[in-house]
Amino acid sequence: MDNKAITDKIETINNQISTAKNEARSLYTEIESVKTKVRDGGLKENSYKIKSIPNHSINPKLYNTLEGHQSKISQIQWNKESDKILSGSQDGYMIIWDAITGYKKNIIELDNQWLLTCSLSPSGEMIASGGLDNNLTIYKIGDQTTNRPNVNYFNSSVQYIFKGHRAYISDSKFLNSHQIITSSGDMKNMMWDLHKGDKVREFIDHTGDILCLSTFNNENNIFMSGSCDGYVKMWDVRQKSSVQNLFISNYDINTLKVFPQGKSFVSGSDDGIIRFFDLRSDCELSQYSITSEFKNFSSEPSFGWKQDNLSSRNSLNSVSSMDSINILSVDFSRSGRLIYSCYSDFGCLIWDSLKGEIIGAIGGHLNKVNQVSVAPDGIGVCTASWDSTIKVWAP
Amino acid sequence: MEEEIKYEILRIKLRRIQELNIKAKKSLLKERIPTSQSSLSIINYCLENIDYLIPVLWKNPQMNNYQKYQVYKNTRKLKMKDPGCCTIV
Repeated sequence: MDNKAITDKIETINNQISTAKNEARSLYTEIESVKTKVRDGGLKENSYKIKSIPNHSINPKLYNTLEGHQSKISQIQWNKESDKILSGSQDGYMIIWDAITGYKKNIIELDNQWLLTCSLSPSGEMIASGGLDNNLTIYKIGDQTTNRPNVNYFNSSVQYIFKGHRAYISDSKFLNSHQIITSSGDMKNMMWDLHKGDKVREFIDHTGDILCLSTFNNENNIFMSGSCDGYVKMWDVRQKSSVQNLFISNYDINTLKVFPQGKSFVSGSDDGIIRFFDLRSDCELSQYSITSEFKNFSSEPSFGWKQDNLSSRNSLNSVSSMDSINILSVDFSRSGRLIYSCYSDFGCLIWDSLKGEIIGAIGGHLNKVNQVSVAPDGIGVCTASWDSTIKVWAP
Repeated sequence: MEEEIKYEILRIKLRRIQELNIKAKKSLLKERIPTSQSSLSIINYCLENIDYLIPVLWKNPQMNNYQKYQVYKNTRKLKMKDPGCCTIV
C-alpha cells in the first residue's frame, strides 16, 4: 500500500516537472524574442562615423619599474589618490609603492604566502589579503607620512582574520571604508564588516567557482561577480538574491570591469574574447576577439607596437592552437574609450572599445603580464607580471 | 526506501525548475532599452570625458606628476654634477 502511494506521488511529481519544464522552455523563448527585438545595433554599428584612433598614437611612456618582489605578482591596486600602488605577491609580501618616485612606502609580511588577491580600503589605512588558505586577513598599516626611510617600512598589524569560506578566495574588493566583499571557489560571495569584525552575509546563486569581482564607482551597495559557470551576476547588498544575471560564455570568466559610466561592463574569459555587455539592454553590445582581429591581417600586421614586445613571437599573422589566448585582466581608461587587456601569451593589448580594433600594446615585461590597472585619475597605468616586477606607464 | 529517496530528489528538481521559472518571469518583466540607445549613451560618454591616455584626442595642458618628477630628478642630478665653488679637494 505504502509503495503504491509513493509510486503515485512520483508519477504526479514527474508530471509537475514536465509541465514546469515546458513552462521554462516557453519562458526562455519569450525572453530570447524580447532580447532579439532590443538588439538593433551595437557599439561598432553606431560608431562608424567616429574617427579611429591612429595605431601609433597610444604610446605610454615607462616611468618606473618597481622591483622588490621575489615571485609572481598576484594582484595590484591603485589608491584613491592615484599616487600609490598596492601589490601582493606569492613571495609572502605585500608592498605599497609610491607610483611617482618608485620608492617603497610600506612592506607587509603575509601570514599566508599563497596570496591570490589584495585590496586597499578607500582611506588607504586597511589592506585585505586572501588566497589559498581560505581566510581573509585584514591588516592596518601605520603612518606613512614620515620622510625618514627604514623607520616604518614594516609598520603594519593584523586586525582580523575572517574565516568562513570553504575554498580559496579569488578576489576581494572594498565596498566602502568598512565593508569588504570576497569571492571564492566555494561558489559564494561573502560580505564582511570591519566594525562588527564579522561576516555580514553570503551571496549564493553561482554554480561554479567565482573568479572575479567588480565594484561600481559611485554605488556602494552593488557589485558584480563572474564565475566558472559562465554567468556574471549583479548583486545588491540590500536584496536577497542576485539582481541581474547575464550568461557570457561556456568558458571561465576570469576578469570583469564595470564601465566608468556604471551601466555596462566588460568581461574577459578563457575563450580569449572580451565581451561588452550593457545592463540596461540586458545584452551584449560588442565583442573583441584577438583571433578574428589577426585574421584581418593577411600579410604584415600594422599594429603600433614593437614585435619583440610580444614575448619573442615571430609571427603575429595567426594565432595557432598552441597559443593560449586566455584573458587574465581588463581595465578601462578614464573615458572608457580604451580597454587594456592582458592575454596569457600576447602581453597587454589596447583595444578601441567603440571601433573594436587593437590600437596598441604595452610591452617590456620578461614573462606573462597578468594584471593591468588604470589609476583613478586616468593618467597612470600599471602592469604586473610573473617576472616579479610592476611597470608604471603614463603619457 | 529507495523510492522515497527518488521522490525527494524529484521534489528538489521540481523546486529548482520552479525557482528558475520565477526568475525567468521576473527577467521577462524587466524593462530593456534598445541596444542602439545604450550604445549611443556609451559613445557619448567616451567622447565627452577627458582621457589623457589618448593624446591625439586629449592633450594634457599641464605636466603630469610623472613628468614633473623626471624634471626634478634631472635638475637634481645636474646640481650634483656641478661642483660649484665650494669643493674641497
